[in-house]
Amino acid sequence: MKISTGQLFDRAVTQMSTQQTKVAEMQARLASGKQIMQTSDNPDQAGLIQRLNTAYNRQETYEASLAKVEDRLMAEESALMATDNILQRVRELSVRASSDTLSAKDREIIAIEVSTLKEGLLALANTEDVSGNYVFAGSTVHTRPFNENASGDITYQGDDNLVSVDVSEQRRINMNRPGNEVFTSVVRIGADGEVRVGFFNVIEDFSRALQSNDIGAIQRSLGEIDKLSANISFSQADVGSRLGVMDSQRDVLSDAKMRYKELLSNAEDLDYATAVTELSAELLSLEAAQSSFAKISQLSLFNYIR
Amino acid sequence: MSDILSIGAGATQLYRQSLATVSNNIANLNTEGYSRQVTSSAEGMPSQQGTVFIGTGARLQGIARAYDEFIESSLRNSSSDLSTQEPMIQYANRIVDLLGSQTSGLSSALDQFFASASDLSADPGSTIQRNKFVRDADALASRFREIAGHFSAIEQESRSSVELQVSTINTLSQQLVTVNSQLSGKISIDKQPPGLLDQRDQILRDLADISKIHVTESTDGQVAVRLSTSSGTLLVDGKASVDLGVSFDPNDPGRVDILVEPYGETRAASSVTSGVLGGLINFRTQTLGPAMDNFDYLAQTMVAEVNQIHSAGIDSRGQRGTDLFQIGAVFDVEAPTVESDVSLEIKVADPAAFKFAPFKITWMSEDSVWRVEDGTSGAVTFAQPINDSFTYAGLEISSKGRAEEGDTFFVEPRERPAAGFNLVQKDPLAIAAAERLRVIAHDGNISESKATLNYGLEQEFQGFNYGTNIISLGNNDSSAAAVTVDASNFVPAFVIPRGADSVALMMDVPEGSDLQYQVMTNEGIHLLGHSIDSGTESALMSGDPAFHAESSYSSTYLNATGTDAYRNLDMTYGHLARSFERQDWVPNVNGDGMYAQTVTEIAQVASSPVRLQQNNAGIPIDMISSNSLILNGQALSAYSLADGESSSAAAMATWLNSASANTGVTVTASNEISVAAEDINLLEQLTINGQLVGNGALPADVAALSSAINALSDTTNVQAYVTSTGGLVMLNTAGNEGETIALGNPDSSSATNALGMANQVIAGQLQMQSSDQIRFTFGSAGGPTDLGVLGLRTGVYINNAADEDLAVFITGTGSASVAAGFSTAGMNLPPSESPFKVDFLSADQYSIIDSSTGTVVATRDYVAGGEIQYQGLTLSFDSAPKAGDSFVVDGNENGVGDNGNMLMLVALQDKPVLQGSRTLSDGYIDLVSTVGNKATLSKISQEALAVVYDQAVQSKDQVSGVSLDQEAADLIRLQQAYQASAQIIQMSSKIFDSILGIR
Repeated sequence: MKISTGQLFDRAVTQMSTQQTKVAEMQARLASGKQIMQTSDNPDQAGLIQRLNTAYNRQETYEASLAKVEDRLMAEESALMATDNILQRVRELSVRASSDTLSAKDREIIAIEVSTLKEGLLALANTEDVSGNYVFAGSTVHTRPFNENASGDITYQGDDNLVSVDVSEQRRINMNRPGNEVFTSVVRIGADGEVRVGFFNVIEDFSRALQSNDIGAIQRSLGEIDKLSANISFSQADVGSRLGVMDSQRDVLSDAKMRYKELLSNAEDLDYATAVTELSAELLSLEAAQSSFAKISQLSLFNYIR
Repeated sequence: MSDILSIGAGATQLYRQSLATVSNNIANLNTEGYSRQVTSSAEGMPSQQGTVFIGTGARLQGIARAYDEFIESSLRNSSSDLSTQEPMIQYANRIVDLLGSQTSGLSSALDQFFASASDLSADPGSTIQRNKFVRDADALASRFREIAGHFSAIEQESRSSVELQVSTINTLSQQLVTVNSQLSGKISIDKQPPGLLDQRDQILRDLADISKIHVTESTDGQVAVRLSTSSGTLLVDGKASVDLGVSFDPNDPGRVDILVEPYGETRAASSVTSGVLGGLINFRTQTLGPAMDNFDYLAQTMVAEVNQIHSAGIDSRGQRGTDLFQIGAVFDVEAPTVESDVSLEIKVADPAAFKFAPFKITWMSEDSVWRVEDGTSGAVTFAQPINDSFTYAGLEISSKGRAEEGDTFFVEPRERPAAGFNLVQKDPLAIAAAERLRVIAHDGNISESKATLNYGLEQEFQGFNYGTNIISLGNNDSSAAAVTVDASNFVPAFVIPRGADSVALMMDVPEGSDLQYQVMTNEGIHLLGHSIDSGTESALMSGDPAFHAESSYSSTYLNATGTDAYRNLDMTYGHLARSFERQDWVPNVNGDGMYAQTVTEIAQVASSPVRLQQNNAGIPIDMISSNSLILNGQALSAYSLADGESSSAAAMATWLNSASANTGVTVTASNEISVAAEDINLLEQLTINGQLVGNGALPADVAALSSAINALSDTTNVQAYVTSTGGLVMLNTAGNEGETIALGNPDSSSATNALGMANQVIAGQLQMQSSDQIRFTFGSAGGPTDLGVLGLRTGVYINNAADEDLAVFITGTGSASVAAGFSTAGMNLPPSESPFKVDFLSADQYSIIDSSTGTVVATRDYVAGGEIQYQGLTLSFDSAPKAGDSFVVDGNENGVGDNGNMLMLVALQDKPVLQGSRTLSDGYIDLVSTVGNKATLSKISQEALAVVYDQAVQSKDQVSGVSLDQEAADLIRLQQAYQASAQIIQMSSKIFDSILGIR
């Protein structure tokens, strides 16, 4: 078989440049630490990497949402705790006031404290969170939820909406409790059947009963305040459990992040040991190609024609 | 002796030429396409000397190329196949790198958009989050546009590349023609100059690189070339070649047509599938086209889905959301003749006026105007630019640079979803994060029940199963257009579709019939008609399954008006005419102009002939009982006939006028009979009210007939006159208006008379007028038959569009003829969701009340634990509501903290909205992988084909290549031979000298 001189040179050059390219690619990979420099290097893997990146980013988004929900729940929790304390005090007062030993004057004194406590309760019912949103307003977060209406009653102006937020692909967590579920009303059976009495009206009625020294009404208030207090405790338990869920959710999210990070690293990152070995192999064959070419190209019959 | 010399001389010459050939081989070592040349020598013709033949040496027979036709052909084919792959790899990899990049790809922008939506859902009241959402939505839109721009750049580039390759084919074809003509000089290929053949082969190889070719070589070395295969388009044949051209489809990047003779008799060339050109075309059809289509589809789906969600929500101002994204137009501007530096910029200024129509504009420097020609209709308008810009068909067109006379631009608007992807809602407060409706339990509810609201996908009410849609009757309420309908208490006769406006459904009933209209909603609300007994109530709601099973019949809104009416609709059952206003143009006082004046047209009703009846009962009877008819709210007294009396229009007019003071309606009676000239039959006779006209003599003409009638006016109370068109009009004489006119013919064998009309008694008609309205409705005992006495039809009138389908029953016995008038302007509007309230009347019954009008639209039975469905919404309760509980469903106007809609937007990222149940991001990754796989596939093919090609090159090299060693050996061999030959000459000289030296 005849090898033409031109072909001999061409081939050697092609082979060496192919080898050069391989070495350069390997070098770039080693320098960047990435398995895939450009998507076209491995389109299948690139799809996987994009998916993993999306999934990873999503966990971060969930974490951000979680942090916001936590802010809100903390505000809710502390307001509820304070409310509970005040209501306990109101309850104590109502127990004391229903005692027969107290005089009308004593009850009036208690009434003064009760109205102060009521103001405190109102302030708590209108609690705002760090972003200035009313906590107990349902979704009308920019409207003060508990206000005095024309007839002097404090009524709920918010709505019943539960706002929930995604904290994982499967989990949605409620970030609020509408005010009318926290500062609940009670059903009072009066002369004209069952009537709903608002939270603040219960306290107000108690205060009025104290002022008018109406023992029957005071005792009724005692029962009603018990119900209010029970409901606050229920809300506290609810917030507490949601905070608990959030803690466990945070762990779940960080686990998920870790997992995705690892998968990403598997797909994307370079295995240095293999890469370095490969590089030396490529270098070796490049050198071999170069030195053999140097030798072979020297060979020519013309060298011997004198 | 001389033989030796000539042998020697011949041999030196031969070897000198051979050495020259070897030198030439060495010299052309690096010449592309050079085939090694070999000299061939032949033995000289031996000379006979006696009985022996003595050789005469050697001579040069020829210099041939080391060449193998088959190797050459396989080299060409393998080079075509190999070069097919390169464009695909190059371009597809570029697309993949672009789309797959973390920074410039769509994935990161999509992630960011949904992440912002998620952030906003966690704090919908925050303006900062809203700003961030708008910013990221804008980034997503611009990322779509950027990628579309990259696609379009690659499209342009591959297009120019295709064009370049096609023009290279043309150049090479022409070169081949030149070579062919040079080759035509010799008969045999052996005699052709090797260099020329090398040149020919090189051209063929270059051609094969661009596209696979089929080559036929003739004996003299000329070649014929066909595209692709032996049956392909003939490119070069001898000294003729064809030009190729290429055309692209602007709407489909995947479509590339190679044409023959683009500037002459154009025809399609055979398809090109390999070579660089084939590779480029493959890339465009298999990769670029589908990828661009898919990307557009992605953009389109994204816009549609996001907009659907966003426009269903409520923004922070309490208003309904709008479209978030929009797909704008992209303009293709071509200016093939423009040489000046002018360029155009086109924007859509008024989307409503912009119609996606192509147009062309030409600059006319004399008048400094643009001549705009509509591309479809050819209509021409002129536009004078102000500050270099003007508007046309909703577009704002501005030019840059100085235009010259005749500069023409062809503008074609195109819808390229990805390239025209825009964010339209840039106001952070207008981002609709909240759900559009909410349910609020009333403060005073006794039960603790909480309601939740779910959006059904479809309205549960899909229209009535029975009843003719009135639209199908055609918009013509005249008696002539009426259809006959049988009464039924079980299924609706007609359906008035949702949104039909200005409805008038007119009915004629036979005398004395008990037919009535009943109009109902599917919730059993009786809107118009006659009050019915409970048996009929249940019968009406029993037949059509569209009636809500749990709903109870309600007559609360039966025939009610004003704010008492059902949803405050303006509806009438009876007969209605209203005054109306119109604009009239009248000349002004100076007589030099017109001005608009509002003219009020009074309400008018003209009846058909009234019902005739003679009372032979012996006692007075009521033709219309007292309180049967109500006119403008005033109950009318009875219309009675004394014993022996006959009814007449005049008497009815008097009766109606007796109530004028209360009704505001004045009535006149008349009886007018018009006969057209062509109907008059002067060969027949005529009696009027029993009197023979003209004493039996046939009149000569219509005028004579008229005078004959007028001659009897005193006895008949009827007069006549001839109209300008030769017809005849007969009417009552003064003081007898509204009297009946009896037409007859004394000839009992003829059923018609001189007027061409049937012999009959024609009753008078009523004309009613009112400055406000004429509104007949029915009292408790009244019905359509009572209006029939007055010559009036009974109608159902609905003046403003109802937001639901209405069922129209015709109850009673017999059949009626019905015609409809309506307007359909509002029929295609989407169903509106109006706020409503659910009131529990008891634990097992509730009403639904429309909040805006206070109308009870339904009263239904409730089963504890059940759901309530209304307007496509579902209300469910966590515990059983009690009597007196009420739940309000309203727009989420101040619910700035609600994130329901944003959550739906976030959920879009996991929603399989694309074909094949893929999410948006799946669709994109698939797009990238598909292109990537194409590239990988091509890469693999390329590696395999490279081996084939290498082998072909090697084989060719073995034959045609120049090896220095071989040449060196030849050089030595030939040099030695040459030296030897020279020695022969010397030797012969010595021999000759020896001879000469003989002394």
